[in-house]
Amino acid sequence: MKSEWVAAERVEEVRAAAEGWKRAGAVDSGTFEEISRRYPEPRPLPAPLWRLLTAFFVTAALLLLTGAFFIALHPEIGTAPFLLFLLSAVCVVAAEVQERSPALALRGGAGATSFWGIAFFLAGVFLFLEETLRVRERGGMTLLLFAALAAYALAAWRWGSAVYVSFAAISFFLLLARAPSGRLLWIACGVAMTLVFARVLDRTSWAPSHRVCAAALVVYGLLGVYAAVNLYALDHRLVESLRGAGLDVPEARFPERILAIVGTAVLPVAILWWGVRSRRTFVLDTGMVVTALSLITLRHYVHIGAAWLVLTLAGAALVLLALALNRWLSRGPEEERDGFTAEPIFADEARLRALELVPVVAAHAPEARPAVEPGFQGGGGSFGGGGAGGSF
Amino acid sequence: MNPDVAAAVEYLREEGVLTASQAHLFARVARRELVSLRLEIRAALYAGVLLLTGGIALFVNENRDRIGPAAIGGAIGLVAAACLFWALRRSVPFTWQTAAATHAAFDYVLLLGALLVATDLAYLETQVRLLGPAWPWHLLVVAAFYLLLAYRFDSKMLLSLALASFAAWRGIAVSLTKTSLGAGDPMRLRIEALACGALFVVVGVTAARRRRKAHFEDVYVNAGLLLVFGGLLSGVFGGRGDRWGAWLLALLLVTVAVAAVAFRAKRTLPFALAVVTAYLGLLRPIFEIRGSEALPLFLAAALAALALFFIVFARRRMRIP
Repeated sequence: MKSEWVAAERVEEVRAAAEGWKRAGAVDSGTFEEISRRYPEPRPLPAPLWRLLTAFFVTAALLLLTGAFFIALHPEIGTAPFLLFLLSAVCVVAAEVQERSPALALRGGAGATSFWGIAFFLAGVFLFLEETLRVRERGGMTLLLFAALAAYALAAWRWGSAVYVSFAAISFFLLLARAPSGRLLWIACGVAMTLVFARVLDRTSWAPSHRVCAAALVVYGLLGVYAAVNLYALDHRLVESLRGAGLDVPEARFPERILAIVGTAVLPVAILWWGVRSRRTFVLDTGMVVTALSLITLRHYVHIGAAWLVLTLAGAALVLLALALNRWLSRGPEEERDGFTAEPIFADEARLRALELVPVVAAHAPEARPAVEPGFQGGGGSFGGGGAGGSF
Repeated sequence: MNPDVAAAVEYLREEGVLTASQAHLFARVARRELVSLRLEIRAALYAGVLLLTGGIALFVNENRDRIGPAAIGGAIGLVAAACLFWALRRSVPFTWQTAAATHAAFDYVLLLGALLVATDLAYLETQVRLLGPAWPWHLLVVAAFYLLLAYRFDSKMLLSLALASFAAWRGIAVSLTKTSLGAGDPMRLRIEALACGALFVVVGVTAARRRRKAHFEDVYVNAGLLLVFGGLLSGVFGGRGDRWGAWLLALLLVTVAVAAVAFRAKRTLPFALAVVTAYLGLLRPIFEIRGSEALPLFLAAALAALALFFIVFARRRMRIP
């Protein structure tokens, strides 16, 4: 990552924080203007919707042009990889040009072109291995995963994108799963990844976007370890099944299952504990997710009660727990306890609430009434119309 | 920790831009000495509501024959009433302006109460068959109930559900996963979608002009535009007997009008919706071109590039971030 980009990111961090202070009324307009004057906008940053719109049209143009070229040129299957490599190079150069221009860097186009640049490269590698080198399936997939890991890791390092680092982490774990001791490697490498990248989360010398990438890698490390130790994943050989079909995988042995039971129970608690101790919300969030997964695993093996009872009790418990936490934090001195508060501080709550509308409508909007054909006699319809989904 | 912000806070304090108390608070947040759990609490509340409504729905489905409609209906009604009573006790008095939520759980308890009432209504309708063949009217009742709660408690969440329920009553599926408008005669559904959408837009604009819950305008207008554009696109991509040319003309007229109004009013989402809809609509005549397989793709790509230049130009002229 170029030093000018890092400098721009640091200024953007301060400006974003100042906007939060202003939104919360913690600073007045005069102070905000003064901060803006001292930290002038290094690169125009359009609203997320504009960036999304730009990325949509760049994607449409790129894919349609690619399709048109392929139809017009009718390349041989042997030359198709090279055409894809050429397109990939064009996209990567275009992304780099945009990133270097402060006026274009954050408009959404750079992200879209770099994404498709890597996608074309990987498609080219796949065709090259499959059609030109005729590499057999297992070896070909391993090489493709190596290529994906390298491409996404380089892209994340160059452009500081958490999306690319996520793809790199996924490629990395898929690659490890192909090794004979894949599960053990997931645990060892997951722990190593978590420990290594947790050390650089607050490092001043790292660019802000690289620190976000490091946080993403910590999360993937934790999830990798959890996936390897989860009892359900062990019993169903989920990690081993990623090696490909046709491989004979022995059933889990008793000591392995005991260790998995302990891991499934202990790891969520350990992650939550670390999240609380370090006051890192992304670690806490990861802990909440794996706790939920462990409870689902428990329910799979131990039938505590009927499904409706478990769901209702779990829902009631979650609501009560959240309410109790909110109450406990709100009643602390200055509405905080041990460095935690239930207040939004400087977050943009209005935007958050607007974003909530989409999942709420998607989950609870009623089914449309069925078409009434001539001669149809209504029979009361299906139960669950008004906001409860199509049927119970 | 955010070392860049922490360093900036220290610098701004030394320069006298921030007061000592401001700098103290900002530095605590930047150094992660004070962390908000608001998002986690809200997420847990929403997940809890989802689990609760799912569990209750399952219970009703499994036990309706054994327990009987009166007991089930009564029990759900009691829980719903408790939720709504809690919300009523916690709410600020009715106002036509924005009313701030008084509790982190307010939105979710209100949502739970409203969903349970709707569930109860739907369940009782299936058991008692009060409306008989006219049972879809219960969707209108649910929509009216959601709307009432939305206005009383100033909830955009419930307003969205009210509009979705109203559309469902008219037979239109408001779903992100389904690409069709719903089941039945496509032409009737298109007309319904256009009428519903236009109604929502008119109500939204009127609300804003009369300053009666003016902040609900975006929900009304965006939902309305989605329905109108969905109806028009359905016509454009209909069968050959659907006169897609006329639908395309209508679509272009509407999208140009919406884009122009949104441009003047500096409203990003309606503008974006109009541009994307116009682009999608224009793909139909492009892909009707026969003779060359590559030409339609080239033209569609050129159109995307044109749209790209248009939105870059429009964003600059609108002078908004």
